[in-house]
Amino acid sequence: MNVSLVSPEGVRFEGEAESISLPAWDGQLGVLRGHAPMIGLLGSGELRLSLEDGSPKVFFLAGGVFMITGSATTLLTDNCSQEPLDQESQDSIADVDEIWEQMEDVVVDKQST
Amino acid sequence: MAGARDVKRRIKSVENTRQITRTMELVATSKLKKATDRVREARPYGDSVVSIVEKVCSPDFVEKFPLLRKPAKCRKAAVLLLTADRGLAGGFNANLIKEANVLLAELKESGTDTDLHIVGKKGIAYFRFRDYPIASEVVDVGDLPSVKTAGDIIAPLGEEFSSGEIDAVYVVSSEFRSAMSTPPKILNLLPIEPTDGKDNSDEFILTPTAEIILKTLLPLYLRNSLYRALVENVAAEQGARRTAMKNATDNAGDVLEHLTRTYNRARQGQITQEIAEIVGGAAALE
Repeated sequence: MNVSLVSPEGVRFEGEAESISLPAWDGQLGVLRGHAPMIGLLGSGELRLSLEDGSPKVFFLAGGVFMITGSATTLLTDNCSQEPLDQESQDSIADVDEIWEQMEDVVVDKQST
Repeated sequence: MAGARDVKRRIKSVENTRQITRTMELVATSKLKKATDRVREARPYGDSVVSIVEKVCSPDFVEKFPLLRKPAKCRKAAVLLLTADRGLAGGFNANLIKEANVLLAELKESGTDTDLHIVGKKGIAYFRFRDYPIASEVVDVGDLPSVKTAGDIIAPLGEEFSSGEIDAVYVVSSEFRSAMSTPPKILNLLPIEPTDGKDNSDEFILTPTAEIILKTLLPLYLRNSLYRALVENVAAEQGARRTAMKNATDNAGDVLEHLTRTYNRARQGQITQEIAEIVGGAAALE
């Protein structure tokens, strides 16, 4: 499965991986080959890749969006590094509780209409 | 005929100028390479953002998101002009300013008010000299524009658009086709042009919800569009400067050749004259 980690300044990583564990907004999300197509927000945390030769690769990221299609996973993020990120860039992302609140608003909206 | 010494002085001066233009050409060439790399590297992110926006967006969000609104009539538009901080790049800045003037005139004719926002000292100097009201100014973006700069420039415009103060945002910048061809172009940044209009969101699981994803994604989309325009503009500037400086260096070479001939002729004339004088003097003694 193809993985690409893309920041506005360029592609940070591109390659094949057996499995991916990515930090979605609400927790780690495991992705294997044939995962259902999915688009979602990224939280902050570790992106763990298990490459085809079995070796692991870890990136730290905070905020952004990911898209999983049948054959490829794309992660778009402003903050990513192979070193742990400082607190400042982690603070810049949306708060999980806030998202839950917003989601409740949306659900209420839909019920009322 | 100018004396040989005067010609010699001019040759020296042209040689000095040629040295400077050649150096500037070399500097522009190396900066151009870095700038084109950045243009290329910015592409994957931009393409992905656009494709995700298309997939998440559905027609019924148009009313929900102020950034997606489609004004029926354009009452007021913001024109964002991207120029360079420095000159000596041929017609680069002049072409951009001309394009912006045409756009401003067109908008005025169609009864639209305009706000002019300018990036780059050259554009600011031009409009300030003509006492044209400038809504905002940004200088020193530099040769390596950052994503943050792009965000800082576009965020207020996005807010004005959301609140209904302005109904459109145009960006006047240079398109980087190649180092030789950098024509100015106008990008209609807002309102965001309708995507294919289909509702694609069913194909994907969306987490948390399409609304919340879009809320994060739309500002990223705007910021990235401007970032691309900025890096392309820098690359175009360096390309234009390299071409201009190459022409200047070549011209200096032509001038030098001409001057060298003039100098040799003057020198030869002087020698001939001296010989004639000696011969004349010797003849007078006999």
